[in-house]
Amino acid sequence: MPTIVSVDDSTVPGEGSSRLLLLVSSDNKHIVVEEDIMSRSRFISKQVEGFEATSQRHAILLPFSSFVLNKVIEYCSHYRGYYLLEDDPDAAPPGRSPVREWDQEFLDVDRNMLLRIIKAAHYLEIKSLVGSCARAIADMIRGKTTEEMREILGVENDFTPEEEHSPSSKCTG
Amino acid sequence: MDSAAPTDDVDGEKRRRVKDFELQPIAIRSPINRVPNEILREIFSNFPSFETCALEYSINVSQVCRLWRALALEMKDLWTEIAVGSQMGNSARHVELALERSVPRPITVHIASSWTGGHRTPVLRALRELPRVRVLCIGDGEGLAHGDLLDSVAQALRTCHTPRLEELRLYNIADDLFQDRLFAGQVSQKLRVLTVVACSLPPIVVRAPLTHLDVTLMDVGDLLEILRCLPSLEHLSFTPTLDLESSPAEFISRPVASLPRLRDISVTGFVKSITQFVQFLEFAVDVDLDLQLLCEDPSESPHYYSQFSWICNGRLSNVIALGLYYQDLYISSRDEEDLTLKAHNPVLPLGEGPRLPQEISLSFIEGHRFSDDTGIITPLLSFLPAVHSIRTLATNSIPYRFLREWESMSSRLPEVASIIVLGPAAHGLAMALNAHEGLFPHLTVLSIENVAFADLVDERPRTLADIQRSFRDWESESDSGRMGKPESEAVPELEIPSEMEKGVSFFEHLLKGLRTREAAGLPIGRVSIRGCDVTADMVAQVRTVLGADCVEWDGQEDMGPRPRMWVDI
Repeated sequence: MPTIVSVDDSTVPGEGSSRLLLLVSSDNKHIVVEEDIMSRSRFISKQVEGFEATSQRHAILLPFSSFVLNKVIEYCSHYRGYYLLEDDPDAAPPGRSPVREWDQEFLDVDRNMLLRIIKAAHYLEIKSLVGSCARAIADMIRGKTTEEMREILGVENDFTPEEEHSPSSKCTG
Repeated sequence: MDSAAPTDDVDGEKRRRVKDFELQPIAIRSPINRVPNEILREIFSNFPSFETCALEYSINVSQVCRLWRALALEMKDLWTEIAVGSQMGNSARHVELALERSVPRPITVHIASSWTGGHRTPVLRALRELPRVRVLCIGDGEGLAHGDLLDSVAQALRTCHTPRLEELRLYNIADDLFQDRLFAGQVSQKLRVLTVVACSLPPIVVRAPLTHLDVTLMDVGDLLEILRCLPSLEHLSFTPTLDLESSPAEFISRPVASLPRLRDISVTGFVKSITQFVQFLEFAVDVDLDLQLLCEDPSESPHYYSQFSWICNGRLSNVIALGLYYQDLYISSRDEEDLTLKAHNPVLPLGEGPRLPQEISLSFIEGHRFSDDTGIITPLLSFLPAVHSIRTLATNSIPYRFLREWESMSSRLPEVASIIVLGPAAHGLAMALNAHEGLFPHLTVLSIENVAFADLVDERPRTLADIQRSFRDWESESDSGRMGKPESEAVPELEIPSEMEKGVSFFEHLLKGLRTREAAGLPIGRVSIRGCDVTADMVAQVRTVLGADCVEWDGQEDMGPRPRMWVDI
């Protein structure tokens, strides 16, 4: 659960044409962002609804670093105002869609960063970003052997030698 | 001996726990293992669909670690793609494994055509599961399907019901009898999608409620016969065996007339068939049709091919067509509010009612024959009475050919008030302004950019030899670096010899045209000249005609490299 703290009006810039949110990262960086931008996040949207009920302004503490948070904000800013089927809670789950060109470039980061972004997107409930990250990770291991998959994603082989060589696991998959 | 067994068990259990304890921290350290299982499932679900390696992927994923294995075994969809019948196909043991782990999900079975006797077992095993098959692919791009394969498949399909079958793909099957034998009994009423490549259509198509039909390398006449029997068809993708120039005229009207639900057509063909598609488009306007027309592989037919796309969306239809460099083509804008179409090759919007485009952008690139013998310009322009702005770019084209098009556009787009013209297209416009004082009667803003005026002379070759000579001269002059530099600062005489414009520069055409309009009470209110090789004296003459405040000039005389001329004879 995120921690929500009350803040003074002086902390959050005043309301303009688009309301502003204060996001606080795990490294205690305060990031002000327009609510419109983050409306793609169902998690944030739900938090904002809660704020309206209490008519109080809040900061939202998030369990990931400002570096990751900024990447997520960059993604949300890029698609601000765009309709993405994956993020529509009322739409039927989409089938596989090709990776958007911009996303490919955006997610051209190292493995650990990609994993951090997908975790953040999952936490913030941004399905389109989760989907894009998942496709990017899947592409990394596509056509690879088991050993290569382990190597690429840094997964430890925790099978015992017996399990690994038993007919039920190794040989038949 | 009897008491030793429990002790061994206890020791074994302790050893296992110790091993687990040793392994645990290592697994936790791995960043991928710190992501929630839900994310891992999302990653795994992106398995390679419709590829022979799909099952191999799933097997490899399940062998990475205990967690992945547990998740992979939970995900039944991960085991639903089976490929059999070739060296790359799955072994009988893996097929068995996939069938077991995917229960009760519907499955996809690919049966390759390059099978030998050694592949028979997995093929037959997969065919026994036909009642669970949702997608069935027979054959592949590797070669003609083998007779034994067809016999086995036909036999299985004749005896086995396929209630879940939604999609059937047939590749490279030369045996027409096979199609006849397909589904001799009942055909799935869920069958919606049929893909047929390099083989004839099986008769079952008329008994299935197909909504999607993708046909490659088939005779147009055969397709027409089938289309009459597919009233529920919504999407048609078609690549003919022949170029559509020789296709029967019925192709134009029949699909629309007999397929009331048809919404989307994708045709791959040669550019020389474009006239017929223009007519098709006219039919399509009234039936809410999406049409996408593509032509691939430019290397095959360098003079006719292209990739071109038409997209018609109901009353708003954007047409993108022609050109040699398919990568330069642009698909359309469908933004109803602000429809400005841009493309590197002719983009002609087609529509009616309130969604009519207000601006069109026409760009002509090397290789496009801009005479009306393509048949594309004239029929389409009749749909565009509301256009008030034209932006035209031409490079590497024969200047005088544009004259006719400007005349045509003027008669069909009478409301045009603004023209931006770039490159050699301006030569045709200059000539047209000179030749017709009523050209674009509402034209008030003219912007001319990056045009060579001063040294390019209209000599209007009349014969093939003239044309060839003309362009040889052009190229040799261009190579010697003379192009773009006026030989003389002297302004040509404005009086045009009565024997027509022979030897007159295009700037003279323009200037005379502006004067004629001024005299006729149709003045162009504002002229902007940018990046052209005109001199200050030439601009002064234009200012004399229109007034000093009405002419903008950037003073740039250096146009940079001139585009290479192109001749299509």
